[in-house]
Amino acid sequence: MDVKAMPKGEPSVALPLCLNCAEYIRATDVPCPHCTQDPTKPGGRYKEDGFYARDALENLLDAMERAATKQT
Amino acid sequence: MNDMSAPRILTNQDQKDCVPVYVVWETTLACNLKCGHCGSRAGDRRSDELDTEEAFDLIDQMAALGTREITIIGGEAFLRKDWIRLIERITSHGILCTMQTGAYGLNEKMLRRAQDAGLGGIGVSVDGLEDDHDKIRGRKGSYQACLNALRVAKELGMVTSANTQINAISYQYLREVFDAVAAVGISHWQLQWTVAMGNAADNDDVLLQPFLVKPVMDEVAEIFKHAQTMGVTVRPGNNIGYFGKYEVLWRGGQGGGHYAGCPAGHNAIGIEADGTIKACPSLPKERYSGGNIRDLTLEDMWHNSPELAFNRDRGTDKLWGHCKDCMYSDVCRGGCTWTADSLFRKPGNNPYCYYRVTELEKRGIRERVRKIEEAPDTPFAVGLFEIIEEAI
Repeated sequence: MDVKAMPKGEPSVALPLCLNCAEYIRATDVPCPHCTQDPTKPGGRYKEDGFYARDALENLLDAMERAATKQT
Repeated sequence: MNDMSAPRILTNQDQKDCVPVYVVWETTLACNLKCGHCGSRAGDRRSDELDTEEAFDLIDQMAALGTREITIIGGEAFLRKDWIRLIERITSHGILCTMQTGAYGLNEKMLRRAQDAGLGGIGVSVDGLEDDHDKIRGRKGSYQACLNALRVAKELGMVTSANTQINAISYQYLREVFDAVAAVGISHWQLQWTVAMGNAADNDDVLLQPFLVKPVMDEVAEIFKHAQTMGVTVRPGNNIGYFGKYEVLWRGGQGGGHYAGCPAGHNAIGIEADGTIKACPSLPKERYSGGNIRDLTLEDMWHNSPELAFNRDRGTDKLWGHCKDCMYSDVCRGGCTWTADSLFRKPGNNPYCYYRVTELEKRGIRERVRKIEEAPDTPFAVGLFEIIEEAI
């Protein structure tokens, strides 16, 4: 595949998650339009339903992978 | 490989370069089932289906464009005499090959041969418990054939997915259907709404009304959590969503994020058995054909056919109805093109959206769809529906 010759497209927009209600929001949304809380402070459903723990584990695994890649 | 979805995961670069990462290929329209909701009205093979050499050439062209996964479907893909050779050709390029099947007549010997040829996994359509499934699939014994195929494929070590359409019949028994397919050892359970196309447009009583999306999704969320404890991944199909409180559940994490809009023609291709190239296998030919592989190369069509390119600029100009004013409009862009187009003969307005249903509910409104024009008697035909807003 010749990447330079491929037609070009727009990548999707990546939305941040409200760290309180765990719904997707705009980066500029303060407070969260869904729960009216500060979307940058972990709490509420985000913590209670295990998404905080899930994301923390993924971040840790990513960091470990990056570190391993750096070492090799 | 223990996750069939991995090759399909899109990078930013895939999206910038419009790599056709995922192809769904109707290799034949021949089918041994008579499904009451079949969008393509499969049954008899097309009179002009690609022969083996033409199919091989098409596979080579897909590989050259960077395709990473090809799902063969039908009709019923294994009714082609050369289906094993097609799998071999696909996997010879290092492309993951999977098969979506009704599994009626699919036995252990055939699955072993397919696995030896490189088939990575199968998705089997299970659309209800035994009586409902056999009725909607038009064949007594088709339900047991599904479970048997899943059981055998699992024993052979293949990745197994049960795919269930949610409609006016099946929505009441989703938990029971999940329990049945989980019992035979599936790794994935994929869900999608039944879409108003072909036989489902004729038999429109089978369509779920949009106002039922919320209770159904609440139920699916409970099943999702239950499935996690069993090691089964519940996966939303492209027309299930979007956003709201469950988006983080189905699509968040594990390298995902959230629904990013319809990938048809941006990173996906659909192929009809006669060589017609479309952005998605389910879109109607008359408005979405990018050409035929007998007339043009795949590269030529991919680069130059406007019928394949409509999603690439991620524009919002085609949105209408409630989708036009949604806070997620530029991300979601009306969701699944097929779902909206099948209802309204144009994309950009999707009443089967969870976020939309919940937002309307806050305003005391619900929507239902009503057929106002029948679909013609051709494959992938669509009728015409209207949305009726009602006070709750």
